[in-house]
Amino acid sequence: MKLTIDGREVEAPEGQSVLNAALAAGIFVPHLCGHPDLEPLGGCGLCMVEVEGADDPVRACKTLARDGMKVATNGDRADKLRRLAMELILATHPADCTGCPKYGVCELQSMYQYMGVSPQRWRCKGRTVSTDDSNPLITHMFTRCIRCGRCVRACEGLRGVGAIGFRRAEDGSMRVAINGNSLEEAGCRFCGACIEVCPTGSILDMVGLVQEGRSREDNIVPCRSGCPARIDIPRYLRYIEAGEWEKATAVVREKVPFPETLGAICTHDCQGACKRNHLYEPLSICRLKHAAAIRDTGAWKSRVRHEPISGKKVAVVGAGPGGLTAALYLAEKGHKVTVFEANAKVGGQMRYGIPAYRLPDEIVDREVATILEISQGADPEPRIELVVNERVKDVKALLGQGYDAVLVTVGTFQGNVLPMKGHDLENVYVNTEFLKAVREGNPQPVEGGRVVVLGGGNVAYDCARTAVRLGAKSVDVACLEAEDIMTSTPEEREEAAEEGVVLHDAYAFTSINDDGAGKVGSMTIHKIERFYFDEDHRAVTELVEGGELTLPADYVIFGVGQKPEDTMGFGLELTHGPYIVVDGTCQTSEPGIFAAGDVVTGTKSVIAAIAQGRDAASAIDRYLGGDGDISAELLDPEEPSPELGKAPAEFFKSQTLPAFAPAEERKNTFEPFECPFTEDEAQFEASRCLKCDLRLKITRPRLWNEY
Amino acid sequence: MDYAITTAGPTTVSELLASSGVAADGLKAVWVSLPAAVLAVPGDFDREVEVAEGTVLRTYDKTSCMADALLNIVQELRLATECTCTFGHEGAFQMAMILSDICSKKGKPGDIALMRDLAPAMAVHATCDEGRAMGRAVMQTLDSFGDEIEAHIAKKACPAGSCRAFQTYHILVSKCIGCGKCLDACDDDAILGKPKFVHVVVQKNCVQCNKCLEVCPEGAVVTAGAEKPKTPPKPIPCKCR
Repeated sequence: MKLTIDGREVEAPEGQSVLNAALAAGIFVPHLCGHPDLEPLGGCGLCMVEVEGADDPVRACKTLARDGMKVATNGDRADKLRRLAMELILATHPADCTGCPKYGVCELQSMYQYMGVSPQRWRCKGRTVSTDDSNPLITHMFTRCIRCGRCVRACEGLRGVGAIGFRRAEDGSMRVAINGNSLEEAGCRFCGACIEVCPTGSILDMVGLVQEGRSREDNIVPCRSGCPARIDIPRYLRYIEAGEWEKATAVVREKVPFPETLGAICTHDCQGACKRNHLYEPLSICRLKHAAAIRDTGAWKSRVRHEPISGKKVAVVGAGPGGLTAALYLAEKGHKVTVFEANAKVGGQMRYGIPAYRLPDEIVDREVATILEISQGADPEPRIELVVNERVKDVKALLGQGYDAVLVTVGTFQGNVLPMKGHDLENVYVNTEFLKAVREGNPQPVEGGRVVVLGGGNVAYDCARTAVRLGAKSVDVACLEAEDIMTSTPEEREEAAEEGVVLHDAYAFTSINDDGAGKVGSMTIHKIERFYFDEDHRAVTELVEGGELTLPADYVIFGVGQKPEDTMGFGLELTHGPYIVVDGTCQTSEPGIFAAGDVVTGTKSVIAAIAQGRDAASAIDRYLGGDGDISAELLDPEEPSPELGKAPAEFFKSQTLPAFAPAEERKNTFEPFECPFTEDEAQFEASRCLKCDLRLKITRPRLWNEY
Repeated sequence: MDYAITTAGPTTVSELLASSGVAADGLKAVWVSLPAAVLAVPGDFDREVEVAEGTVLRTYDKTSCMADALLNIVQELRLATECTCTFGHEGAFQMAMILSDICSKKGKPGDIALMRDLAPAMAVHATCDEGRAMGRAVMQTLDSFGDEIEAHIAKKACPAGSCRAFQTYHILVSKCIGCGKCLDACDDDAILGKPKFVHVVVQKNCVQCNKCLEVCPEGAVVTAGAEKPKTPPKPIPCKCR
């Protein structure tokens, strides 16, 4: 139907309000309580318009558009009422806009500036309500509330929660208040819809949640931005909650080709970013990914990108997570890929760095096989060729051997040895070699011996726990950092302690001592007060007087970092010693030669290497003349329900823990000791998700200057 | 005086007065609460009003201050609704603040105009019955008793003599024994006097704290509204005893 607004003919669907018809036609009408996603309330009185034939102005939000209607938005009577309404609103609103976090993005501020209204002639008296930051994640500053009721309607109408409502204050005025003693008691889902719709600075994200330099989207859904590969975590958690495992895995697969591996060993920065860190522990995102991956049926495989053969060839040097990821996406783009691997098996650190009790061979084999399968698709020939036992010493030469581009993903396979006294004694081992030897089935001997591991990261702990499983009599870990700043995860230390590993934190390494026969006899360490880096970035340690400790030892394992091998001979520009320099497109100093993963970034994580592999694949495809688009849509997009319902009591529980093999049992075997979540456990754990992404689905009202 | 109405339906103010046993003589106004929400004045008592069970009939005579009466009506309606619309909720808040200022001698020259500006908007555009009733009550009261309310601001006087802020304190010559107790009790140098002399209140210093009235053993301190007792301008020797 058609109506006329300010002399302009406007088309409006049946049942649309005059306000929405005007806004849709680009005609701005002031409004505050009205919100595109919420039922109209008709409270603020700002959207007054004049309708031909009506005695008085009417609220545009509560007036349905009728065919042939003639509306004037700027008549004197409507304007007078609208200004009066704004004056009354401002009369009880604090006047100090500059101190408000919403300054500049506040809808009320924008609106009164547009109208040019001041409340001066009225009794201007703020309604003091003290700031309530006693609830997690959401801060209430209701002294700024203008009673538009958007938050109440969002919580009740949109989310079906009803954790907040209007209540009468002591002075007789109505105010928004929690329906209970706390948001938790009120069954709040902490979804943030109230924050999103508040037109003023009355309901805010807790201080610290919004980080400058991070996009709005990343601030609202921090788990997703915490993931280097930006897996759509809230989306797959929603599928897990519904028990739709294959869909959940498809979501993960849209970004990474190693869901099960990551489910087993990911460093899960997402969990560190999860908002539930402030509300009974973060979601167990990593384990949930695992739970979905093991129940996958592969239905997504038919939707994998499979572009026609391009005729281009790419060599990938190093078959770790970064190299294999890049190989897959390059193959999907139609390029033939040869992956050279120096070791007997592919997988890189997944195979040779991470112990089998955390990531068994079968998982790596399975996921690599899937990569080969999906990249070949219905082609007669495989698109990816794996060449093992082939250490490439001259990467530049590959360009002359028929390859159009080369990707170097050799990782960091050389363990660091500190040049301290005794470092060259017999029975001094290095992390990378020690761990790799075990995975190759040919472990360096520690059985029955006393082992001291130097270093406090996860790799040091991998060495320590591997030594336990190899039958060491005792295992001690010594590191420079105090326990609270150690880089290994607390769970890792806790589990190792259960297995008998003894930690000596905040110790400097003095010397490895000879047993008199050229072998390790003991390890001397020294307690430190603190350590720091001076202006020349040199580590300075302050020793505690008399804090020397000598641990009897038969074996010492260096677990103090690792670096790339071979890169010195590549003839590429390097930095910080052996690390390859790349530009913003992963390209090295040599055109056509790209690099990614640990060899560029230093030792990081499997997920970081995968993310780098994606970037490199995209960059190489563009270099080869493609569009660089490696995005995937492995399942149909869905529209999640905005409704959440009141939170049940069990919503406020800590992380669900899977079943573990007890320490006494697991310390004798390299079998994985953690059982994946059962279906019930996984669905329950996923139900703890705050579904922060739903907040992004709420329409953002346009300000007047956007019309 | 308030009278509870037990009938429902259309009736007239006169009938309501009769059924409540109230004589219309001497009344200056009658308030019939919701659903009618009508402030009627003599000569208009035959108008039809709608009542329901719970409706209150409130009568005002010459001792009733209509500014105070209106403040009470506004406050009652305000507390009877949980509506939060701007015209109702914020309008009521402004009305209550303005009227309360007027009744406590803090009214400002533009206040009547503000109320006249706001009331019609409330009467039409408030979203609840109470909000609209408030707007009507203010308009009706200003129409009939505008001068009385205006006097609070312009003349600094409550013509009905009922607003406490406008009450004056006086010491009766016929009763004062010049004991000096009120003099000692006054913190504001608002009482003149010496032993055996009739004490006198200095009106410009008086803050209506009521302490003098409380300490006087003779009941010689009185308050006055519209009509003031005759008192000497300066202390004079006591006549009694």
